[in-house]
Amino acid sequence: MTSRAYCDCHVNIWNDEHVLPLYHTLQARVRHGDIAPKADASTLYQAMSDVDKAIIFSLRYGDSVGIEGDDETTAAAVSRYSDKFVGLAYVDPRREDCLDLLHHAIDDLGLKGAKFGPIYNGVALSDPRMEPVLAFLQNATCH
Amino acid sequence: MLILSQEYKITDKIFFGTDYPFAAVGESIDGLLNINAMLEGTMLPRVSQETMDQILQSNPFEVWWKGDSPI
Repeated sequence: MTSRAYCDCHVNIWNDEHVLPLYHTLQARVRHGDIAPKADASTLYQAMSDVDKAIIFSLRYGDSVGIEGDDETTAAAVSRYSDKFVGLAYVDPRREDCLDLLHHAIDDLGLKGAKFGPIYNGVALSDPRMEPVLAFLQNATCH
Repeated sequence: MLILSQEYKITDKIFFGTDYPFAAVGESIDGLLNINAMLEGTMLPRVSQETMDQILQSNPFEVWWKGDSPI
């Protein structure tokens, strides 16, 4: 019997145009059975009916996952479904514009923090490239 | 891992997340609530109902933003 949870703190969001062929190749290799074919805002809202809140973020790992999303997608979903969604920015320190994107996500789009995926980008938390990211996040106002 | 978290008394550091769309909310909740089924017939320690409830009701907004909740 399915119960409820208060918050799903790990929800990916993307639109159809963000999906690359690599995604389908990888999913067919590592997981059997059905994976929800869509992860757009409307789909997520319906899928999150058994939680009160959901923390969402987009994937921008076209090279490793096959999803090239963006923070604008996350922000638009939060704006549309503000009763349910809280959005985090995507962070990939391999990008030269990483900090610019993070500033935009937090300061302009109003996202409330950052999601970091070392298993996708191969960057350890101790990597020197993380220092300016962590410095910014420690001082950022995210409310 | 859940048994270890119980033994080390750090279950309050575990938060519920599905990684949707790679897993759905219902199956994730059911998976947690039925996790002890695989131990049926053994003497191995169980994940307590208290731990399961704590995870399902975990509130990152009270913890992750150091008291400055974003909601």
